[in-house]
Amino acid sequence: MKIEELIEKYFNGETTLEEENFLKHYFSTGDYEKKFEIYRSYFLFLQSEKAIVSNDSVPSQILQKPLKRNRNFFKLEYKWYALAASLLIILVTVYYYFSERKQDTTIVITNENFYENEEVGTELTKEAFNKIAKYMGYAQASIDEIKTLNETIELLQKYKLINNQLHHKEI
Amino acid sequence: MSVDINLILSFKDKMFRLARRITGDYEDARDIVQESLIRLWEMADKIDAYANPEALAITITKNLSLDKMKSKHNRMKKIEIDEYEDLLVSEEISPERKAENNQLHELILELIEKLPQQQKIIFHLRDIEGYNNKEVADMLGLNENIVKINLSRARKKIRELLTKIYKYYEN
Repeated sequence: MKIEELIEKYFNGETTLEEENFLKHYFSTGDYEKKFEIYRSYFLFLQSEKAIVSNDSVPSQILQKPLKRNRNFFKLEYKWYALAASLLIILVTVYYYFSERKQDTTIVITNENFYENEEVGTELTKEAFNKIAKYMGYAQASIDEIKTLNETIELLQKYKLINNQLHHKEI
Repeated sequence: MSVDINLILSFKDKMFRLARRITGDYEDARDIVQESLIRLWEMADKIDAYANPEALAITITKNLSLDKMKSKHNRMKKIEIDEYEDLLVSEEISPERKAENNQLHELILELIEKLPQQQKIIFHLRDIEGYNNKEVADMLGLNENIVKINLSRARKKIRELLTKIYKYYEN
């Protein structure tokens, strides 16, 4: 590719890093076309800017603070944080597990059986109350029958008494 | 990647050049490099977690430089390229005199300083430091396409100036 085309490509932002390095190298040598003089100044400028260095020494804070001590401190602290977080999670899980179980547990005693499940307990209790209600119904019916029987007996006794009296009068 | 003082210090010149590019001030750049090195050193434990410590160094420097610029906001006024032409033809800085005194370098430097901040940083990282667009995008937290667009705009502005200078030379 011609230098002219490469320069065009560069200013359109389409060159690769390799092509840009080629241009920098091309203009850093004395062998270039004079019409590109202005571009030469520019590419030399880029290179000279990269040659600038900082002459300052290392900040004293860095020298006073060795990395090793700093690193160990943070690593240790990190482990303790991790351990504490794990324990907390376990404790919270265990707490919620048992508190949930406690809320769910209803002990139901039917005859000699113990039931610890709330739903089973509720069903069995309902069943027990239904049975009681049913027997109470039977009991009411029996009482009514007894009443009827007593009244009949009383009537029969009255009838018998009247009958006896009538029989005595005939004799 | 193991992190030691030599690795961190190997970024020093690049950090200095970037800080100087952004702030346009030698002393500010020195302060920023010192501060950046200290921050980098304090983060040395965590640097292992970063894929590219050099990119981290550049990012810290860029952020500190921009912070510095914010605090000096009104002291630096952006001059667009049209305004720059006035500067170029003003009597006190004649093109002939600049050519004689090899001040073309200074003109380019000044133009770059007047570029919008993002264009300036991208231009510096790509054209002076030689990072590819992806590396620049990662360092600045930008999309690669944004980097490409900004780079292209910066180069076009520079070319515009170079063309004007060249015309002055010809005349």
